This record gives sequence, structure tokens and C-alpha cells, in this order.
Amino acid sequence: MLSICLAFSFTSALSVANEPANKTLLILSGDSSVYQQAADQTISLIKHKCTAENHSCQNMDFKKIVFTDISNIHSDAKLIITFGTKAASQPQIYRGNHIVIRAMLPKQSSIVQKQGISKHSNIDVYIDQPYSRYFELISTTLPRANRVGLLIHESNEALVKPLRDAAKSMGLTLNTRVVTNTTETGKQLSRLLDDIDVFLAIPDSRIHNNKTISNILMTSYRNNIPVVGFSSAYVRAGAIAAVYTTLDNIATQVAETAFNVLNENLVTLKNEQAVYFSVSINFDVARSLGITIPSESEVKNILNTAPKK
Amino acid sequence: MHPLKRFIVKLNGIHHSLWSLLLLYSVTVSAEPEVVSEAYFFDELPVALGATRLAQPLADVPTAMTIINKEMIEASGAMSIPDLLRLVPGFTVGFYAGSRATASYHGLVDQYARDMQVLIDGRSIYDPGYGGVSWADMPIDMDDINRIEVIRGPNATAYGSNAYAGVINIITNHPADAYGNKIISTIGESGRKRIHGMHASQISDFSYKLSASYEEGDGFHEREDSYDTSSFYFHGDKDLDRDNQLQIILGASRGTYEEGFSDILQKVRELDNTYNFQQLNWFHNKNDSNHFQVQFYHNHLKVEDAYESPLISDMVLDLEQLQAIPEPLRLDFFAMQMGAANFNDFLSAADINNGRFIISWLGLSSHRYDLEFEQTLKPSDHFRFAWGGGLRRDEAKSIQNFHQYEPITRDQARIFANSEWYAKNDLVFNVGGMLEDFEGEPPLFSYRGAVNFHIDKQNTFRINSSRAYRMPTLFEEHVNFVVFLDEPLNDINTWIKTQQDLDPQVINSLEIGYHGNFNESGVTVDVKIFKEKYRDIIISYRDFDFPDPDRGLADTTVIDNFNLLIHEGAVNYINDGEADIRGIEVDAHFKPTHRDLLYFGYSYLHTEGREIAWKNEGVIQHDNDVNRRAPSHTFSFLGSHRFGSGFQISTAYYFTDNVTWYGEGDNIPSYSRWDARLSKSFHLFSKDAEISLLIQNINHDNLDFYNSAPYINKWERNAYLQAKLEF
Repeated sequence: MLSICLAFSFTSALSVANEPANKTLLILSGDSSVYQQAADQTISLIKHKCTAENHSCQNMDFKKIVFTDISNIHSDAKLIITFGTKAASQPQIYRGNHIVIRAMLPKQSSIVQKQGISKHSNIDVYIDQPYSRYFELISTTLPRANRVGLLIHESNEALVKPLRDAAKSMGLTLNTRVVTNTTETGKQLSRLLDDIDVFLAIPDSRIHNNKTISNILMTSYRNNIPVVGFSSAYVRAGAIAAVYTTLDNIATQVAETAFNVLNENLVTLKNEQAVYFSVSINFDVARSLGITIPSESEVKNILNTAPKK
Repeated sequence: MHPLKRFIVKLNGIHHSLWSLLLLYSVTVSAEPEVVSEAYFFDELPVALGATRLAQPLADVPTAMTIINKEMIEASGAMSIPDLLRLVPGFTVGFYAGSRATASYHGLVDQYARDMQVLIDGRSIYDPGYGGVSWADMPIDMDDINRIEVIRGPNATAYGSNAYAGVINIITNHPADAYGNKIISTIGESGRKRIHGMHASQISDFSYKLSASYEEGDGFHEREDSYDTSSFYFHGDKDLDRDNQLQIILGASRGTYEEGFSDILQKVRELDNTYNFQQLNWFHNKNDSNHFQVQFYHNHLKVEDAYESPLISDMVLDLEQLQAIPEPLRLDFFAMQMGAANFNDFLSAADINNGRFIISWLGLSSHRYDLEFEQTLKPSDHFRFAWGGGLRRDEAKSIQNFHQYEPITRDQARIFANSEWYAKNDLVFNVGGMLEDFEGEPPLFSYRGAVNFHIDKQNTFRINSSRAYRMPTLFEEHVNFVVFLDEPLNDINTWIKTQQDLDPQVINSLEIGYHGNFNESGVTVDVKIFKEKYRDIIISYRDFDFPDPDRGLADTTVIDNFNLLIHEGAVNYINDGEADIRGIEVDAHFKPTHRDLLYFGYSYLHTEGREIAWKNEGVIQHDNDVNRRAPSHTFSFLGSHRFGSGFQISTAYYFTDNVTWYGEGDNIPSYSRWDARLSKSFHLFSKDAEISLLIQNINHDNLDFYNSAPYINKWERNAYLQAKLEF
């Protein structure tokens, strides 16, 4: 059904072709507030930066569309910014000499894993945190925790080494259990909990999803093991802490990257880790587990000043 | 036209075939389920640990609490829950038979620890018949326990009138915490053998756990108290939807226990116990600040214990005192001692025939049905409130104990409320009350008020005042224990009979506590100074004036003389005891590394009071020596270290001061016990396996509960080997 809808939009969206040169096109993966808010904030910050720097881009025209409205773009836009995987998956955006900033991309998304459809000039801005930041968060909030537990899907086993290296650089030990089938998540978790001080959830919908996280959180809590997550929702659900990228964080980083592109400041096109981040702490859970944690701003400051490894 | 055909026609009309192909490719790519999409980072998730479902941190708990976690259970090597409770400051634990135990806080206890509320997964396992807990019959294995929270002090506001001296809250492993299979086998001295199997899995949204156990043993070396028990347990959890969970727990056990000794009125016999329970819980999360649950459970304990004596003439012929008399003359000689001319005249004067006594010391069947609703609300960040109500029916049936065929029942209705208010960041108020209405009794109101003051993030002081009650058990209130001749209701001797209405016992407690939680060094310390006033204690005493059944005789001389041989007077239960206990307790955990564990427990109790001792010829004698009823000092230590090689070594040491048990128990001199455990974890065919050696009572033999012939319970050094396989 989706393919039918897209085919219709392909024939009816010619109106966005032949964009003016001094133009930035922002393509959203949907019309939900998540994308709208990120795009609006990005536009606002770019404009602000251009004005502050008195750069020619202050007169730039910004056009924001949902990916379903771009079927045939022969755009001469100077810059295209995509928000999310669906927008970045549209082949039309890679036609032309412009640079594409692909924002809000999870590292584990298929488009990143397949290195994109074209060999176009792209800058990927990941939504994920660098692994080291998770371990910095653990060291900061749970100084007594030495053994970090992780469930990893068998198809992601290659991630274990970089994760283990990142943990080691913080003086932590990473204990992992491999999940081959999503139905055995609970079994592997219960065995893992015997050998760890904190459980780390990294983004993988096969392991952490609406159906499983209640059990993960409850089982860990019953065993007095705090969970560190990757989203504020995880913290609201019962994780003790999380480090993650907010829409404002995304917009700030994308705006800076966009300004550098427009200012032709970029020496090389390089994919970017999430530079800006936020920290959430569930003080109810911390208190219930008898754990004292500094405030969110203190933790964030410590993470900001942590030496980059 | 079919939409797909229309789509194909349109495609044919498009010149950009290459782009079409690319588009189709992109659609294919985007239609693949993403392992992670950006929306995943912003998705809302179901709140699993809402504020209303979180446990209170120890620093905010209004009373002293000892937590025995899984690691401590394993390190202790304890093979039963009562054994484990030796760790808890202020606890008195006694085994009145090889596998059957009693355990209570601050002494003042017999083989039925009536002063403690005991729960497994929220279900009270307190037996309404005799009171206390029939530990050996509980279908639970040590390996199934996640942790035990022992509330040291009254807590009737949360757990009802049996939470008098304290609460033992046992939490088992949730099925989701135990997925897989496990077999544990134990073999050792004293003929002890145990095998336990567990299987836990998940079918869609339904998690379940099944387990079964069998155990047998010879009991104490110098006692005839061998036993065997088998049990079955099922726990299922069903997520109905995001906000509703259903839980069902079932269990059953059967055990046979050698009991008694051989004398004129009894011989070694075998108790046949059966136990089963059913529990159903519905949990509903209305929202993050509003959670409620409804619980129903039913417990049933049946103890079959019947003894039929030889014919009276045969018993007389066997009397030790008559062995010097030629056998043909013994019956008549005996009759003359009773005040009759000969044996036939004796039977006639006593209005009895040459029949058999029917006695059942412990035979009783009990039921508890309980329905409870509880709602937890968090109207603000600083205030949490739980309230609810419940209905309960207790039932006990025993012709021998109650002298009636019909069961005795007691209904109870209750409402309760508890609040936790963070007045300031460093000030927590815990206030609660419980109103209970027992059938035919005036309502009881138990309360507690507590303030916890956090000096800083590590140090907390608390003060707590509470009042709680203990209702008499159905046995205490209605006992009419009679020795029958030939058939029930043909009374010959009244052994135990409560002669008046009993009031509930009451305790008033004042506690000042300190809690230190030093996260960074792994130290947790809790110190408690307290004063408890126990009033209206229900005491059993011998009333020598109590007349036995006169059997319609005008002259009861002969039957009275005969009854003196069976049992003189009768035991009576009465509210005639009081005790003041003051003391200090320390509970300290130290976990320097994840491989190490150290635990210390200490209590000092100063006990004063008085209790009725006996009544004879109208004179009531009191005893002021109540301090012997609770040990002055208890000390416990547990230490464990795990080596990287998979070896673990642990040791436990327990000291209990001199104590005199109530009931049939004796004075037991102070004793110490030293246990040690060595284990090795390894992989067997890629499965997790462990083998361990446990030695108990390494230092010396110890007496326990009974210390007078023919019952002498003596623990000796025993070694056990245990093998565990998980797959």
C-alpha cells in the first residue's frame, strides 16, 4: 500500500523541481511534530547564525517538505538536509552537486549500514550517542558499578568489541549475553544479572521494545540492578539514567554543520557523532535503589568535560 | 479495476523508468523493518517502574529492616528459611524436630511463633489454627527465593494484626527472572537427601515457573524425627495489556514426620501433613500515579495425627511401677491404688470400660481465605499514599482440639491507610493506621508514626512509635483438648482448655534509629535503640484445680485418681503476661568489591516482666523471671569471597544467648554455630553448573529447643554435597 501511495506522489510532486540556487531544502521523514520541530529549530538556528555572522546565507530561502512530496527533484538547492531515514532514503535527493546533510540517522539503520544509495556527498549526523558517553554516564552516576551488562542481538555481535574497548577505557568491564531469538531475551537477562552491577540498554528494537522493556526494567529492579538507557522515555519508564539527543540538540548540531557547509568551511565531508546531548535521571528509582546521584546538570557538566576517548 | 492493476497501468505511462525502479527500490528499503529508526529514540514506552510501584529506600523506611538477598542466601548455605533467619539481629530460632522449626523476633515464643506475620509474595502463610508457620510444609525451595525482608518491629498498619513483633516478607524469583531449567541435588549426613527441579519459560505474554522438590532426612541423631516432604509450585504471570497484569500462584506439599516417643500414653507416630494454596492477583496501572491491585488467596493446612492406645488393662500391665508385682496381680493391685477393690470394680467406679484412649496432639485442619484491595496514589512529587481494605475468613477444624465436629470460623474485615510525605528533601514522615473488625470483638486500631531525618545523603536518623495487636489464634481461643475413650466425645480427661474469653495482645513500641548508606565504600549500617511494651500476653499455664469430666458420677474419687496418671489439671490460656524489652541492634553490610560480602548482626535485649506460672488450690503463682524468655545477646556474621576461577568460599557464625522456650520447649544454654561452604562454578557441556560442599556446626554440638529426656535435640557436625545444573 505504501508503494502505491508513493507512486502517486511521484507523479504529482513536480512543483518542487527547479529550486533556486540560494536555497536550502529540508526534507522530513514524516509530518509528525518530531520532524517538524527539528526542522523548524534548525532553520531558526541557521538564520540566527547567518545573521550573527552577517553571512550571505541570511537571505537564504528555506523550504521544508515531507519526503512524500518529492518525487522528481532536479533541485539546484545549495544544501539539502534530511531528517530521518525515510527522507534520506529518497534517491532524488542525491541528484545534483549539492551537499546532503542526513540528520537524525541511527547508526544501526539500514541506510547507514548500506552506506546510502548513491555515492553522493553526504554528511551523516547520527542520533546515537558515541559508546564512550554511555560508560561516562555510568561512571559518573554509579561510581560503585564496575561490571556493565549488555544484551546484544547476534547480528550485532561485531559491536561488542568497540563497546568493550569503550568500557575498558573507563575502567569498566563489559559482560554480554548474546540473544539469538527475541523470545529468549528474558532468559539471557536473568542470567546476565547475576554478574553485573548495572545494565546498559543500547538502541536495538529487537531487544528493547514496547513488549520487552517492562520485563527488562522489572527484572533488573527486582535484582537491584539499575538500568541505563538511551532515551528520556526509557528513564520515564524506569531506567535510572539515560544520555540521549533531544530535538534541540539535533537542530543545534545540524545548524552548525549547515552553516559550515554554506560558509564553505568544511575541509572534508565527515560523518558526525552526536555532539550535543542531554541527560535524564529517574530520582525516584535511584532513591528506591538507595543510590545517590548528582543532579542532571552536574552529570551533564561532568560528561561535557570528560576527556574524549 | 484492481488497485494494483491501476498502479501498473500508471507506471507504464511514466517515462522515467529508471527513477521508477529506484523508487521501488527505495520503497523496498523503507518497507523493511528497521532494527532502529529515529522514531525509536522518541517513542514513549510503558512505565514499568512508576512511582507508585517503587519500594521505599531503606533510608526512608520507618522501621529497622534486615534484607537477606540472594547472594547472602547462597553464601550462608542455609538449607531452610528458619536457618537463614539466624542472621537477623534479635531473632530466636529453634528446631523442635529435625525439619520443623519456629522463629521469632525478640523471643517470648514456643514452637508456634505467633507474634510474627510471614508472607510469601504478599500471601500471609500464618496458620490461623495453631498460629505461626509450618515452615517444613511450605512448597518453596531456598533457590526460589529472591530476597527476604525482615521488618524488625511492629508493622500492623501495613500487614495487619499478626505483624506484632515483626514481619518476614519473602519474595520469590519472578518467572521472568528465572527463565530456563534447573536441577539441584543435595546429599549429606543425617540421611539428608533433597532434589529440586525448576522450569521457567514464556509463551507470548505469559511467563510461568514450575518447580517440584523432594526431601528426606533422619532428623536429630537422638530423636525419632525422620521426615520426608514433597512439594509442587506454579507461578504464572500474564500481561493482559500494557496496564493490566494477572498473576496466579499455586502450590501443594505433602509431608510425613515422625513425632513423639514411647510411654504409657503414646508411641512414636507419624504425622501426615498436607498443605496447599491458591493465589490470584490483578495489578492495574491506571496511570503513573495511580496503581491498584486486588488479591485473593486461600491456604489450607491439614495435619493428620491420630493415636489409639492399647487397652487400658494392657497399659496397666506395662506400667513400670508395677513390674515388681506378679502379672496376675497387677491389675487388681493397680485398682486398689486407684481406690477400688479390683480391676472390674475400678472400671465400674470410674464409669469406663477396658477400652483405648484416642488422642491427637496435633491433628487439625485449617483454612484461610483472604481478599484484599489496595490502591497506591502519588498525588504530588512529595506525597505517596496507599489505602485499601480486605475481608478474611479463618477456619479450623479438629474434634480432638475443639471437642466439636463443626469447624470454628472467625471473620475479619479491615481498612488501612499508609502515607509517605517528603515534607522537605531531608524530612520524611510515615504515618499509617489499620482498623480491624474481628467477628464478635471490639474493633482494633493499630497505628504507626515515624519521622526520618536525613542529616545528609549518607546519614539518616529516624524515630518511630507504633502500636500493634495480636489476635489469639483459633487454638488459643477455643481449645478444648480432650482424651477420649474409644470414640470422640466420650471424654475421660481434659488436657488443655481455655476457660475464659481472650483479648488480643498489645505491643507499644518506640524506636530511635540511625541508617548510614555509604555507597562509595559499599557500607550500609543500621542501628536501632528501642523500647517495647508487651501487654496482655497470652500465656498457657497449668491449672491444677481444673476438674476433669465427672462422667456423671456422684463419687469421682476413682476417676480422679486415674486422671492424675493421665494428666493433672489442665492447661489454660489466659492474658496474664507482660514484658518490657529494651535494647540495641546493629545490622551492617559491607561489600568492598563485587566478589566480597560481609554481614554483621548484633542484638542486646534487656527483658523484664511477669507471667502466670501455675494455679493450684486457688493460689496463682507468677514468675518474674521473664528475662530468660529472650536471649540477651545474639550475634551473626556472614563472609564470602568469589575467586575469578569460579571458586567461592563463605562462612557463617551465629551466637545465641541462653533462652528458655515457652510451651514444651526447654532452657537452652547459649550456643554458637559455625558453618562453612566451598563451591565451584564451571561449564558442563556448555551449561552452567556448580558443585558445593557445606559443613554445618563445625565447632561443636549444639542443643536446640528440647533439652530433657526423652527429647534432646542436638545438632552435630554435618556435611552436605550439593550439585546444581542450569540449562
